[in-house]
Amino acid sequence: MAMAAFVESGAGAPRDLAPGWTREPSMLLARQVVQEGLLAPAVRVAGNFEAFGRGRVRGIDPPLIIAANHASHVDVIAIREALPRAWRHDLVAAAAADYFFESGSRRLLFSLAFNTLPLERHESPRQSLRTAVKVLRQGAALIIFPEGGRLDGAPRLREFAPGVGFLAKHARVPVVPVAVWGTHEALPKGRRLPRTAHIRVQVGRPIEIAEGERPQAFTLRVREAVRAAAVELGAWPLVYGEGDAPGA
Amino acid sequence: MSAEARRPRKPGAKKPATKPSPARGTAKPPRPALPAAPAPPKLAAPPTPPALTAPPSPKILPAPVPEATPRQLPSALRVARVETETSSVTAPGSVVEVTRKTPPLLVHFGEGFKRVRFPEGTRVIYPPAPLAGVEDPEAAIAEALDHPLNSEPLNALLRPGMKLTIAFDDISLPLPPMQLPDVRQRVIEQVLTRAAAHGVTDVVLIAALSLHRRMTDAELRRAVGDRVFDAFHPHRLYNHDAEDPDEMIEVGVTDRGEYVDMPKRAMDSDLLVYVNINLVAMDGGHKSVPVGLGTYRSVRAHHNTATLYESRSYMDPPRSAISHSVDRQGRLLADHLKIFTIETTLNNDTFDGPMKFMQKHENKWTPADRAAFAGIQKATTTLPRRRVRDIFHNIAAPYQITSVQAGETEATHASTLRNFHRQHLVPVKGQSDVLVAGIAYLSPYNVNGVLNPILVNTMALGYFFNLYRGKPLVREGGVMIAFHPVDYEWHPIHHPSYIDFFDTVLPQTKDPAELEARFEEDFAYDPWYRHLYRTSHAYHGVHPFYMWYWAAHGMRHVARTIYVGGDPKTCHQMGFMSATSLKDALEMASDIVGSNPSITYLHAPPLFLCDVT
Repeated sequence: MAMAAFVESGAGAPRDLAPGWTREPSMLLARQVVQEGLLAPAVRVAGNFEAFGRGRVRGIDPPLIIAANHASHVDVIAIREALPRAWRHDLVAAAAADYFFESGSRRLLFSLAFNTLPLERHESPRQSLRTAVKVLRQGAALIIFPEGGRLDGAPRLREFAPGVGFLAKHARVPVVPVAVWGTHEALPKGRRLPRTAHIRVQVGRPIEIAEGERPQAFTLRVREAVRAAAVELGAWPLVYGEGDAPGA
Repeated sequence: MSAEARRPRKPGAKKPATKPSPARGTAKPPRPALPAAPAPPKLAAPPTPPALTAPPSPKILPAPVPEATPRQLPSALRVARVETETSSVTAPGSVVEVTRKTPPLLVHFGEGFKRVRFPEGTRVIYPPAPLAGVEDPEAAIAEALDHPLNSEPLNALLRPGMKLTIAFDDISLPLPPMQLPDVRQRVIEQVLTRAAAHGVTDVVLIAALSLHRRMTDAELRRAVGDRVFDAFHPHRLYNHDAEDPDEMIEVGVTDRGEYVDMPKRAMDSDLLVYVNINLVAMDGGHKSVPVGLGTYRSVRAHHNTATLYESRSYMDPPRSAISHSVDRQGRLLADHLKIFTIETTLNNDTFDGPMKFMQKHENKWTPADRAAFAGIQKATTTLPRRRVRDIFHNIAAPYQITSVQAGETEATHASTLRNFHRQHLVPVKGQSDVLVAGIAYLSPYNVNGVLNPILVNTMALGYFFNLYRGKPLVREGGVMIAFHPVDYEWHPIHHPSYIDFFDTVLPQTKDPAELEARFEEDFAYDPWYRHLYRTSHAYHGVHPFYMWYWAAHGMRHVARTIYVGGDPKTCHQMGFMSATSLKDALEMASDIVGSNPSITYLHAPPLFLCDVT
């Protein structure tokens, strides 16, 4: 019955914006199994994986934001492997609501594997940003890809959407810049099966939004920090590749 | 001719106007006495900024000028008049006069913009600044449902075993679509929650689209939210079908011979709840149910040239024949069906983010606004047309709810109109020779589609011309100048009958009454159009006729219509002229209005309503 279905669906915020079930104990356990038993070994073995700069974030605890460039679905796994182990239970990955939450099976799969939090790209992001702030206030380490989507075409660092600045401002948390390189070869956009590649991740120095700093200005700083991490990594296309100019 | 002589006359001033009006720039005339607005709703306390909103942009506030002299006024933007219905509750709209230092003004131009330098003396009407929304929309809705007007509370109307039908406004409202959650979702969820608590299980939701196109599943989902959509669609949440012979029944005929037809489901219901969004003054009231759930036969009772010629304007219900007609239908219907009307008003906060500049005075633009304008204008001229269209149609307005009222239809609507006027009314003195408007990318009839030439004209001479109460902004025999490319472009799925109307009917006659008599029924009863309306996402076959009639009063009132930037062939086919610039258009109008006409420019959207005295 339609009314019964309505009542059972519960009141409150739109269901998709805070999938609390993905953080239930059973799901945490299942995620642990999938990540530790399947995905992490796959990246380390098949991906010829290297991570740098973990020491820079030692002593910092979530809540915090991890902002990275984005080339592939593999990025989340690679970043996870590059971060302190103590953060792993708190990792939440912001994911495009229109892509990862479009179908039930995809939503289940990625929520299970990556603890995804939907982020609106085409609708107003206000509601999903509010949810993200809530999640951060609960102690999450939120992985966010401010470029808005996976790399499509030549490797380059693209413009950052200002959501990361808004999150940092309203949740009052530091941002850890991260540069990822090689995942675009491991599993580029449009490819279904991964292939071997040399994946490298550089963790940058955490930065915080200054008092009175505008989110848009802070977003530009975050982009520069990711770019600096890419310099350290020697990921020259990210540094010099033709992208959208900041603020363009 | 001296520069002074070129200056347009003040709107409403007598000819000749070779000298500047002595009143211009001097102290503001006394504010006319206006009816006192109602006290603000209990829940309309100033909102606390949500956690994740950007710092508020500077409000579009007119300069405080009651005692000002020309020297004290901002040199670039002299405020001619700033008046409010009741200053304590009404957002101030502003009427400003272009001076030598006024920057070029933003003019909407379809899926793009122009910056146009207007002649000195042009009167520019800006929308009032957005009112603050109610602090807690859910509480405001609950308050309205618990304390309705001339009706028992909603809870008292609900009982186990009853049939409940909920109808709601379709995709034509609001414009642009609002940021989620949609107000319909908020209201419907509360109604359903109460119905469930009272043991009501037989519930159907109908998108009251009248003769508009069917909404897609995604559009329905967007309007009512995931929770409602997943629970009720498709069997208990669906689009109204005005052509369903098994479902539509005759309720009666008014004393003026106006048919009232309704879906069987609605008439079999113990209660019909209607959920409305009021964006312009003609929305809501009795128009919602008899029109939204009517048939071609019942809609044509008032969507005809005779009625529309006598609606002056659509936005002024007491002087609108169409409003009187739907009132008669609604009163007849109310004798047969219990209707609980829920109406909401929104503020006019239409654009945010980088689009915010569109609702600012140009002299208040920040460097970021100028950059955003330049970037978007560049994008509109360089990106593929389809991509540009996507960008515009993805705009979602950050509207906030300014009031919610519920109960018996007429009492509810009276309250709605008072709250509507709080936001939208801009007092304006006098008519002008020329009315200028920029036609944007959107109308009620092309959401996620194409603003075709017929709809462009509907916007110019139907909607923008009618944004008045009292008397039109342009004098009879004046000139309408609208900015739009008027491309020969159509959405073949949404508007199939429009194409045939344009290609086959307009070449024969452009006279609304004649084409109504000769061609309307052919289109209305055409089985192919009917099929497309019922099964695809096409507007009803008769719809282009209604859109043409919608502009009928405007077309008769003005002596000439000129589209700046309009495709000459397309404009000519509709009986209009095209010009390449405002200067050219004014030159082309000079044989009618002279070389120094008074000009009014409607700086919209956001929309407003001019109270012209």
